Amino acid sequence: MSSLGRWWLAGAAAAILIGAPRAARAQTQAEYRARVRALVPVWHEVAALKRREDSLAALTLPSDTVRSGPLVLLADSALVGFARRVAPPAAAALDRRFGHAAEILRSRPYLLSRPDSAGSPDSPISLSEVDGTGQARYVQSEPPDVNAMVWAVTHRAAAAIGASLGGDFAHWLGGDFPADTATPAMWTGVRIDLVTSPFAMARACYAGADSACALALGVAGTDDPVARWFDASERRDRVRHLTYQYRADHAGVYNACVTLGADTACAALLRLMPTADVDPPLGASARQSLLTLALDLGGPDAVTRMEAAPDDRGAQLAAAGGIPVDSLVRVWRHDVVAARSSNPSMSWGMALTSLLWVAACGALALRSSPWR
Amino acid sequence: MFKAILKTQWQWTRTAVLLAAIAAFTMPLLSMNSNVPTIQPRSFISVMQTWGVGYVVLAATVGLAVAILAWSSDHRGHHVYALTLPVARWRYVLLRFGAGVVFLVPVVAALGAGALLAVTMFPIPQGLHTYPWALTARFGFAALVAFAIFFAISSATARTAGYILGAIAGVIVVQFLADAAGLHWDVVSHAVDLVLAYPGVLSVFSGRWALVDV
Repeated sequence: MSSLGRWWLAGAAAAILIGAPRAARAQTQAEYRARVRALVPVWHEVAALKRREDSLAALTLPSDTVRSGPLVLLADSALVGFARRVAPPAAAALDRRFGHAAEILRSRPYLLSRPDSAGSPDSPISLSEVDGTGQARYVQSEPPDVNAMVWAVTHRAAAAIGASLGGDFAHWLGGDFPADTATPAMWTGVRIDLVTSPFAMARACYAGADSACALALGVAGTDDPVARWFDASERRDRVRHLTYQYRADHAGVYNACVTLGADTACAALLRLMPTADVDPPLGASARQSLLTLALDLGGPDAVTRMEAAPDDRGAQLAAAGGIPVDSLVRVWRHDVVAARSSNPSMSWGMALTSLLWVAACGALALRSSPWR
Repeated sequence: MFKAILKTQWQWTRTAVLLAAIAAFTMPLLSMNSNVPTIQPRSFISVMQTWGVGYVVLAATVGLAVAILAWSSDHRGHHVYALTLPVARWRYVLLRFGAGVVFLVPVVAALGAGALLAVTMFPIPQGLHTYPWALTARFGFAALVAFAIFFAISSATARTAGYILGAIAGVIVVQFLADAAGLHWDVVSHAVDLVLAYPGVLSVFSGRWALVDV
């Protein structure tokens, strides 16, 4: 190796040693916050760019409009025929379910488009919601099947109609606003939720206490949900699962609850949480089934009555169903418990049908004659 | 006469029946053993329903095997044995059919015994129920339907089998032509619904097959 080469190698080694990184260490919270703060302007910039892009897209919305009842679908010429097949059944379903409440859809068109305008007829179709400023917000894609798109449109429209009931009701519901009537499968699912719930209030509901059902569903006891929806062990369990930050901020109360088992401490800690963050014992599917039942009982004007009712979920549900909320919960419990009969492994009808098919196949075997 | 048919048919069928009976007996036990009673009841039910596919497959398989084996000797011997017997064809078919039905009994009984033993041996989460009798009944009817269908097909002429295959192919061809013509007809789905949805011929196979459910 030449002397120049040796000097070059020595210099490179010295540079590596001097510039060697310090030992790796985790970033502190302060550093993390600083990084987040540094990224916020970038996020704002990207969001602004996206808004500009959406505005430009809004200027190029297709002009073909398909109206059926209150439902308005926008589509380009390639999809206008598809939109004409989707709109009538979707509008009819919405009218049956929501009646006059569906009128809000007149100002909320839906856009059907293909991301790739030269795409094949089999490529998926995008469904977007168009807001008051003409901006389209992508919602979901469906295969080019009329039934699938009718389902998607009615469910998105149901969500839009349900949003008019306010954030508290939507938060309580915890899921999609029901566009369909109750089905045996829905009741079976709720029955599984009820019988397998770890909460004492749900077990009491299944055992026959209608008042416990109202509490487990969160339509009663909203004045003090922490005390009325849960027992002491459930309160302690909920406290145990609070976020680290929450526990750290209230370390003394937390320890009194979890370590010493003081129920008053558990309740006090849970009451510090926003009421909306305390979910009822029964899950979203059970609450959705209660609303579905109320809408089924109440008919097409159910949502209109809900909108006119006081801002209380019990009153809203009673208005929807046209019966007191206690009666509604009683009917709900009856339907959930009765769902067991729709879930046997065998029924007499099935047995009889099977025997008839066996006899039919036997008769076919008697008629055929391979040696004739 | 029935005794003689039963005896000869048993010789061809016994291996399949015994294997199926062992599978039927062990399946409920394995399904319960694969579950942990401390897991969430919903997960417990999911595991049970996963095993439900096994019961369906076993019922169809045992029906198919017993039906095919009932006619295999006749097909091999070009029906000479049957022609030498002093009985009408319809009576001969009934004897074969009856013998086949008898051979399904041990498999169904094995499933019932396994299911009863399983629900006795293994604990289940609170709130759930066991359905050993209902599951056994469903399995029995499903095996019987599968046996009757394959028995009819197996006893038929090649022309009849051709008709059946032709009908299936026809549905597929109609679906293809409808797609090509841009018609949004879902012929295959409707045909499948016709067969699998109540009161279709295979409706006993659809639905929930679970030893433990709500």
